Amino acid sequence: MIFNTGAALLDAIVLSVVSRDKEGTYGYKITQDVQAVISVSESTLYPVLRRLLKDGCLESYDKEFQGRNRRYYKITNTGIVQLNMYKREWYEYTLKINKLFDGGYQND
Amino acid sequence: MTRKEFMKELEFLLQDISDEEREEALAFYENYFDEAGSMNESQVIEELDSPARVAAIIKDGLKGHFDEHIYAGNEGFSNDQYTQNYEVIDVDDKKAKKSKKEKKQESQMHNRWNEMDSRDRLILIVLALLACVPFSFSIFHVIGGIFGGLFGVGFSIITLFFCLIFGFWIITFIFYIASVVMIVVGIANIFVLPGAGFICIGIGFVLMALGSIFGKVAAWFFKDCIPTIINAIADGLGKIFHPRGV
Repeated sequence: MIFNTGAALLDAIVLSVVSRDKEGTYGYKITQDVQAVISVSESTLYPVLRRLLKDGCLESYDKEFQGRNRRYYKITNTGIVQLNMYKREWYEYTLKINKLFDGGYQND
Repeated sequence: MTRKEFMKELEFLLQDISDEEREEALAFYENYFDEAGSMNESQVIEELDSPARVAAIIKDGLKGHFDEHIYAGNEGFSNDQYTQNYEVIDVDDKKAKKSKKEKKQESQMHNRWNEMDSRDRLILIVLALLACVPFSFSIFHVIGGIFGGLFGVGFSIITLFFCLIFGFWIITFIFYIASVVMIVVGIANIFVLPGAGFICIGIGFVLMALGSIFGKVAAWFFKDCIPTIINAIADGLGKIFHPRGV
């Protein structure tokens, strides 16, 4: 069961996980949260975070935690718009595919 | 491999990206290790697999195409490219892979030219051309007894080297010509002055033998010396432009 998804779905998943924490969350926790739902290699998430930062969908800030810096990632307004777009696309897409699979969907 | 070794290797492999990106990536993974805690250090290293794999993904991420081949499904996300290239199935396989790698390194010693990319080839060609420039002038220098002079000591050494190589060929050639001439003269005179004729033929064969000796030396230069020197240069170039086979 394997589909080529490209970059968008990973972006959507990371955005969704980060958006759950209003104060932002950090790299390790993002990885753990994503992995709790779906298996993904640790090293894959860094480029996704980096890309989302560059695109302005996320912002990062450092905060001291137990005597060291912890980098937090927080969703921006751009990111929220982007995430909503991803969600809408996903619902529509999966709805169509599901209908097709269940045999009920016909393009009249 | 410890965390420290892992990070050091990763830093090494990320030398060719911008300072900003490297620091960002290293900070991320330092953070990651911190959060995972020292108890889970070996587990994290195992999951990250190898610094080479992490570095490859970071670099592909910068180029914007690391997840072109990502597939999603019930099993989760997977990327066959990285799996094929970096994941190791079991210990035996790992060993086989390692010895294969060593073998590959060995064969690289003899096949540098094929391994090089076009930029390195260009640099090597330019260097070779530069080395040839003094040679074209310097034959006259050597013949005229003017060593160095205009081109300085460094050029003279290169010059001398080339002249030695080509000098041997020239000497070989002269010996052969002379020997043929002597033998022909000897044969021509053999009926008129048998003694002188045989001496001439004898001298001709001696010259031919000398020519062969110089020819062997010249061939040794071309077959062994020059490839060794070129390999050494290529090795140096490789180290400059591709530190540790990145």
